[in-house]
Amino acid sequence: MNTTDFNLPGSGSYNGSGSGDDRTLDALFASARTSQPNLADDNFTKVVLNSLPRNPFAQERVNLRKSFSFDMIGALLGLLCVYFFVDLASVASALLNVVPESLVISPVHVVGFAAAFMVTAIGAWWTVENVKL
Amino acid sequence: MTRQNLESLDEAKLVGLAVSENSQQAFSELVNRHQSNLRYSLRQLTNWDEALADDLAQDTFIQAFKELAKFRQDAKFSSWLYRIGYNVFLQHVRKKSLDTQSLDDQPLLANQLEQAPEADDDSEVHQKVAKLLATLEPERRSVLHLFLHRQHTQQEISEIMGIPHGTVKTHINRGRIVLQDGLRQWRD
Repeated sequence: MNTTDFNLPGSGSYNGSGSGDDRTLDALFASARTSQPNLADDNFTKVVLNSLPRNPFAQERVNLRKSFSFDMIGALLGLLCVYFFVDLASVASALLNVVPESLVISPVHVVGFAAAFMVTAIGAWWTVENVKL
Repeated sequence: MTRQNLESLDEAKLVGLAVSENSQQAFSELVNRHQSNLRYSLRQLTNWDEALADDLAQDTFIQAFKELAKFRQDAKFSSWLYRIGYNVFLQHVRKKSLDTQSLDDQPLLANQLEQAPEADDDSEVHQKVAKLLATLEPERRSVLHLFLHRQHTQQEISEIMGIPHGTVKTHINRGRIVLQDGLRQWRD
């Protein structure tokens, strides 16, 4: 089979020039794709199964349970501390005093919010595109 | 559960069984379904080194079994598996310092391409593609394999490999140029 005889493939979303070299390259890969062999198992699965750890999820479950127990104990201790040491009634009234009785939204507020949102969105996009997480 | 029953289950259910009941049979069915594609991909990434590719594929499945609980049911199992396989391949490359091979640096490869302008059978085509891909650095090699062979979109490749979309685009554009040069050497 000559490389120039390969059929033209669909090559994903490539938007290249579609030159002769492009077509030859795409044709070579298309030929490999259409004739990709179904590789015989030949004990491959057996070897993999023999190499698997006995019960990898058991340890993970134990760790999860431990971590959850510590979280619950911490949360309970926190709640007890708050109950005994904080005057909840005064905190509630202080919070209520902070809430304004009326709220005026001017066009400046709207534009400011939109600008802040845009800057945040552009920043997030730039980070995703340029930084390997 | 019998083998026939397992064969009729979809992948999400097989993963569920393997995790909740520690069912090696369910995992065995997953290995059976995906071993051929994964081994083929790894052969393409390792310059068609069959033994090495199979070793890496085994490591991939073992790693996948350990991390099966982290598999998100809405994801494609084959893509998730490929990502693990690619990471296993990268670890091997880093360990062995098996990096980019250029046609100039490797006269044997250049000769192989020059001496074999016509592919007599299918296996030769696969090996030629693997040898061409071996001229690229590992990350670019994987991107080009996913794009040209598996026909994934740039966005899908970005998600599978966990690299930015812009990087995928760059790899495709630059990688094609290198592969075309390799092909030109082959034809001339």
